[in-house]
Amino acid sequence: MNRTPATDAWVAIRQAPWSFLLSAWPWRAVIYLAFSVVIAFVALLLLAVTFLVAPLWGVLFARVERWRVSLLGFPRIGSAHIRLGWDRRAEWLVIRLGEPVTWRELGHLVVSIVLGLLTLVPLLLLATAVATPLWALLGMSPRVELSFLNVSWVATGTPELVLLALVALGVVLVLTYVNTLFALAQASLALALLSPRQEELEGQVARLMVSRKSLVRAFEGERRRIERDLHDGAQQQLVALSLSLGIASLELDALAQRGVEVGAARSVVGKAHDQVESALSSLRDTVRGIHPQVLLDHGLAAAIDELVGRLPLTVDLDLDLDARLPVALEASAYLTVSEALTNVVRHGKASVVTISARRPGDDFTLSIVDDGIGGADPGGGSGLTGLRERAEMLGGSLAITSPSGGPTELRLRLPVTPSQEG
Amino acid sequence: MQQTAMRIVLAEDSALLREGLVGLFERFGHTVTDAVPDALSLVEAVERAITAGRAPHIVITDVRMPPDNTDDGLRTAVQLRHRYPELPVLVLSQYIADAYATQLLDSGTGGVGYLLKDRVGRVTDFMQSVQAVAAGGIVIDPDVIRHLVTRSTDAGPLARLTPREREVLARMAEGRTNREIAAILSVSEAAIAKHIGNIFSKLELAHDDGHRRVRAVLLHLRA
Repeated sequence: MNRTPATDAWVAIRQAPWSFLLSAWPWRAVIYLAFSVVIAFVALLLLAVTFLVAPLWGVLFARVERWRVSLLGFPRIGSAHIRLGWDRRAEWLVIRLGEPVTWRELGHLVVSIVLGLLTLVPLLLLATAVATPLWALLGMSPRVELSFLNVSWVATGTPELVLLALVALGVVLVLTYVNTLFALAQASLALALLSPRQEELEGQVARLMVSRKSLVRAFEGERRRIERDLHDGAQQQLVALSLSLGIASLELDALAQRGVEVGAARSVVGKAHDQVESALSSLRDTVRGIHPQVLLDHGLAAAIDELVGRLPLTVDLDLDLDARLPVALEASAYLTVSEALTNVVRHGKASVVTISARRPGDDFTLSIVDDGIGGADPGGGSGLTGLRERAEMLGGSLAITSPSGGPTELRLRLPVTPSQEG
Repeated sequence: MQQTAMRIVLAEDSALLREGLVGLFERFGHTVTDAVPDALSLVEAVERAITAGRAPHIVITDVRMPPDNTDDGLRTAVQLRHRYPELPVLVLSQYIADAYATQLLDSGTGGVGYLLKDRVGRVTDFMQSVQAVAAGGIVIDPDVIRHLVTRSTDAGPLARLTPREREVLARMAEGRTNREIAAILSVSEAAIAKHIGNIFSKLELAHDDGHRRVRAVLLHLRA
């Protein structure tokens, strides 16, 4: 037999009886129902004592319910609640009471209590059906007296005991199906009441979008912080060092005037001076790639102008931007230009680059075209992948066309919305 | 260059660098009357000195300083130049950007300078630049000049200049004297004077304009 095992109880119960009855699913269903009974009693007790905080118990028990359906092989039910961080604990109660799902959860708890109590019936029947013949056999009693529904029946001999065992077996088999169906019904109810509704899912998507945007802003804040640290720390110290070296060479001049031989010392100081200047210059290049001050002070057009002036390329700028743009957008556009120009210089096949930027209405568009040989891989391993993700996080897009033979064009489009202000 | 003792007001937020610069100026026989760490105290210091009748010979300021830590120093420099057009101001910047340079140059008529902070290490050159600005000259960082010269100049009055004249103009913008330019370009000082005369007439700068040199440089930078 190479039957694939059932993935949940609902699949299992529709399979051939022997494969269902010999699987773990009936046992899981019984465990599920046992939970139902325990939950019903616990919840009843808690509600009786603390009736006023019933919605909170609803929320708490719903967490168990979401997990409990996995006993029957169903995926855990997703939460329809708004996810709240620890920092928002003060608002927790107000937000929870305002959510429709909280009241659905309370309703589910009340229904669960009723169903849980009802669950006692099949479970007790099952227990009786299993226990009676066992008791009869283990107790070696010659007499088994059954009296319910005003019908009396006494088993006195072995044939009757065998009959009793067979009847009990039949009852157990039927109850196995009944129990599993009952467990499935309860799980479906949980699924129906506790699953997130369409609008709740949409709300979650909207919140995710907002948090992605705030992630971009956090990125930007981080970059600015790094730039500030470099500016206030290393850069100032290197300039001070350069000044000290300058003064040292003045001292050497004074010594030389007094006839002291300073040639060797002068060459060492001169070398140190060259080194500190190249350190400053490479630090400046690093900072320019992170978040240049001029971008913050004067905006995108000035920063791009500044950037292209440092490159061994002819760059035609056509930047039609009169107003400042949101900070995250400016940073994203600047980094795209910076990365694109770095690629152009690195591959060294282009001599003229045209950069144009427009802001028609609520859109910002930037295009970078070079006269190189094309054939650039838009996906592969370049920093452009990260920039594309950034653009998408801001709700925009980055498209690269680079046919063999050129030209290579990069088009960035970003929506201009106030939410990007940061 | 003949050195005269100057009164200097210095604004720089890094204590390390501020002390270093004060030491440097004192070594050259100048007096730093105020060395302040932020833009607001810079304005106060300059106003106090001027009302006391002891106007500084030069104001030297960093670009990025408190309170806002953006371009406070530059904005203050522009503001001071508007209020006291003859006050020489030298701005030291961590980054060189044309936007800052043009903003500063447009703001007054007195001596003005815009240098990359790194230049302070080349002590002798730096002190010459300070002297030049204090004397009413214009000193623009070679880095800015290089950037501007490489940019296409196919429009405006500058298009009328020959490449040689443009080169001379670029040197003027660096704050060089005629003699220095002559030495750099390996020609006679008279030849340089002739070039400069041509530059002035092509840019239509009249003889009675006392700041012809400054105006020529400004035209050059705005191109």
